[in-house]
Amino acid sequence: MTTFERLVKNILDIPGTEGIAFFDREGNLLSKSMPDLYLDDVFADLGRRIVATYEVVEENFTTPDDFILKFPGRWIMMRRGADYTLLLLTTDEVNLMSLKIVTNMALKQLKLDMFGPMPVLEFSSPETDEAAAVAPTAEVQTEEETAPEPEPVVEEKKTPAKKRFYRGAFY
Amino acid sequence: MAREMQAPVRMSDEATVQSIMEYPGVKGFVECDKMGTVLQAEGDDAETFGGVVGYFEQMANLIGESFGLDAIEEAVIICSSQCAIALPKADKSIGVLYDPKTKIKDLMPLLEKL
Repeated sequence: MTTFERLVKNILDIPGTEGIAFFDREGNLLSKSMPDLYLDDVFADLGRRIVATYEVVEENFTTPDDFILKFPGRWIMMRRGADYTLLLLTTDEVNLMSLKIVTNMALKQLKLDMFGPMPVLEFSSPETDEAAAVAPTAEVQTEEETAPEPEPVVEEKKTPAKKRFYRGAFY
Repeated sequence: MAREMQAPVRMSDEATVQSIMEYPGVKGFVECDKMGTVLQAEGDDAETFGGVVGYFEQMANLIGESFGLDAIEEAVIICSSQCAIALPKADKSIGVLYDPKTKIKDLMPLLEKL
């Protein structure tokens, strides 16, 4: 397991954490692990908006580190690393202190060149269970799914060849 | 063509604002209408925060919209030296600046009355 995978899994282990995404300073998506009901094109505008929010607040008020946005039933937390921004989607029951501690570790250890494909994880939220029921989401297919089961080999019973008599001898 | 007259925004009463300012750790209070006009501001940096509250709420709503979420209830800015909370109301926005160690949760019942 890479450092990146380990840190992401530690964050997603916090109960109430539903998804995570990383954006660079230009708002480009670096990596994400989000419920499948959020299509990829959502994240194009999202990165741009996050960058704009940080820039405007910094230019006109103060240098922000984190944003916490509270919506009915869901919270969005944004934390700024050295070269990237981390976005977390959580329920409104998440332990913010636990999340902050774990993300502190990630922000400390994660560097821009460490981002890679997200580890394959199972989501436990009801929306993702429904989505999984509708469309399979696993990127990694197991060998059992791709390879058909081998048909049982039926050995044909070999009947002995009929002997032939030729020039005084049996063959 | 006559413009529709907008009802004046009701400003929060002085006593409530004073209670908020006296809460331990609170550094500033600001109230803005939906056009971004600062209606009242108390304390350091409050008026400056008032200048970005409207934009911050709008961007927060757009970010939430990306995830199919309803309108924002509360938006918090966390810095090393201070924090700021923006609370949208029906016809205005409330902003409070406070020390990071402040238990802002205890102040919420008072802010929700505004």
